[in-house]
Amino acid sequence: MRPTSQQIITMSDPATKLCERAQAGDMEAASELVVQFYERLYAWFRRLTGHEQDAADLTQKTFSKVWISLGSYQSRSSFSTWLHGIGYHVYVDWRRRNAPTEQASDEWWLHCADQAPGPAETAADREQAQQVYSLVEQLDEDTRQTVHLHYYQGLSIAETADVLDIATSTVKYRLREAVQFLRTKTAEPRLGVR
Amino acid sequence: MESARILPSFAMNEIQIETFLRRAPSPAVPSDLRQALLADVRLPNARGTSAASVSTAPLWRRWFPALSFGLLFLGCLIVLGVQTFQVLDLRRERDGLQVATVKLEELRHENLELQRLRSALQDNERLRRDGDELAKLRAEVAELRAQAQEFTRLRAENQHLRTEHDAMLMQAGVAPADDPFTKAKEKALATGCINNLKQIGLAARIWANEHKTNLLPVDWITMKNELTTPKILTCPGDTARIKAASWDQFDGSSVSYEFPSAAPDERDPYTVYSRCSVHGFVGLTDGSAQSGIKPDQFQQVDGNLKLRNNATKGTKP
Repeated sequence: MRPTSQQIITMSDPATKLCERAQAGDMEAASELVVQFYERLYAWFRRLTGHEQDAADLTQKTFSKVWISLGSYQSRSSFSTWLHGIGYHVYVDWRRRNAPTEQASDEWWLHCADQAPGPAETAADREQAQQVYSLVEQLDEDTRQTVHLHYYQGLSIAETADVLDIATSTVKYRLREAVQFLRTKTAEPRLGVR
Repeated sequence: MESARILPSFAMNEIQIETFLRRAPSPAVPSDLRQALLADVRLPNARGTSAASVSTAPLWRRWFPALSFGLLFLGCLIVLGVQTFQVLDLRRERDGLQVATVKLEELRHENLELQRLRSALQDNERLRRDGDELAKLRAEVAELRAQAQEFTRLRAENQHLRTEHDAMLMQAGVAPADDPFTKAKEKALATGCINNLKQIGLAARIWANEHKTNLLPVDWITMKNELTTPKILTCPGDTARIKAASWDQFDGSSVSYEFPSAAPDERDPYTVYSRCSVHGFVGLTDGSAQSGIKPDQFQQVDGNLKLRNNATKGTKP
């Protein structure tokens, strides 16, 4: 059987090769996978949960499941996609057991924007960015997840669809709806505190 | 002092929004998370550090799968071997039973023949016994015939001697009554009569005792349970009557005795209870039998026949 184009892509992925080595029992490769992905994973959970400790716990749980399920990884998707898929299920389970998380406050996004280098080069830019990030947290859960995975985590539309186990057209629809929502909301006058 | 105000709106196009979204800031990672994640790495087929743990595992644990399979295989072989031996044993037993079945048929025929011969032998034995019995009976019949002939001859000789005896008595002028043989015979008959009276008296007293009365019965049927047989109601010297063999045949015609008293009381020993119509012997209410009592020694008192007080009592033939 000839490999599919997706498999050809994943076979050339360095993370996939590390994963194959880890499947063979290479501890160094496994450690390298941790180093490469733990920050992205933690940032994702941190944005979703709004709490550092919850994000750290979910990151550890996700990697624990990765090591348990490592033998079942068959390179049909990239390791990043597979990892985010496991993380998504871990987050959904956590969310079922716990009360709905508080949305990240505006101050948190401002704090993040202050610390991280980015496009917020001016005070106005920072204020615009903070408004956008806050509005994202007001989206419904499915659309919010889609925005987080595609924009914040940098997954492609196909990878996002794989992680959420939905069609790519659905991902595109949700993203379009989200951008439209953000456009509408940012155009409205808003009440501030000084 | 903080105050609410209307902030200016930032109308953005899609590109600007997507740019902000793609450049979202990443939160700072806790410093100890990396070490914790690296420490939690658990690979199923780990090499390097985990290989040591594999090598330090007990030998039996590493060989356990192979040993367990080997033991299972060996067990199966043993079970298979045992079952094979059992099957062979069963086949041998089956063959033996088949041979025994054939022999059993022969034995059955022999048994039938043996039973037939045994039956014939028993018949033969029975016939032999019957033959012996028949021979014995024939001998007895011959002997009886000889005895009958002897008896006939003796009777004729006895009759002849009796005739000669009577003729000689006639020639000698001796009456037949004085004949000692005749006297002895009459005495024997009188003794039998006395015995009958005693038995009748005893039966009457037993009846009175059982019924708790002093009056003795004056009816034969009343005390037939106490009288053992109706034969004793016939006097041996009464040649005119025939003895009744049982109470079924008893009709009163064989009775030689009578009740001369109407209400004999056992407390009065002089009251006559029974009396022989042939010899004139009497039985008293005290159970004794008397003979040789003259008629004038009796007296009739209140319907009862009694001995006079001066009469000799206790005389027996």
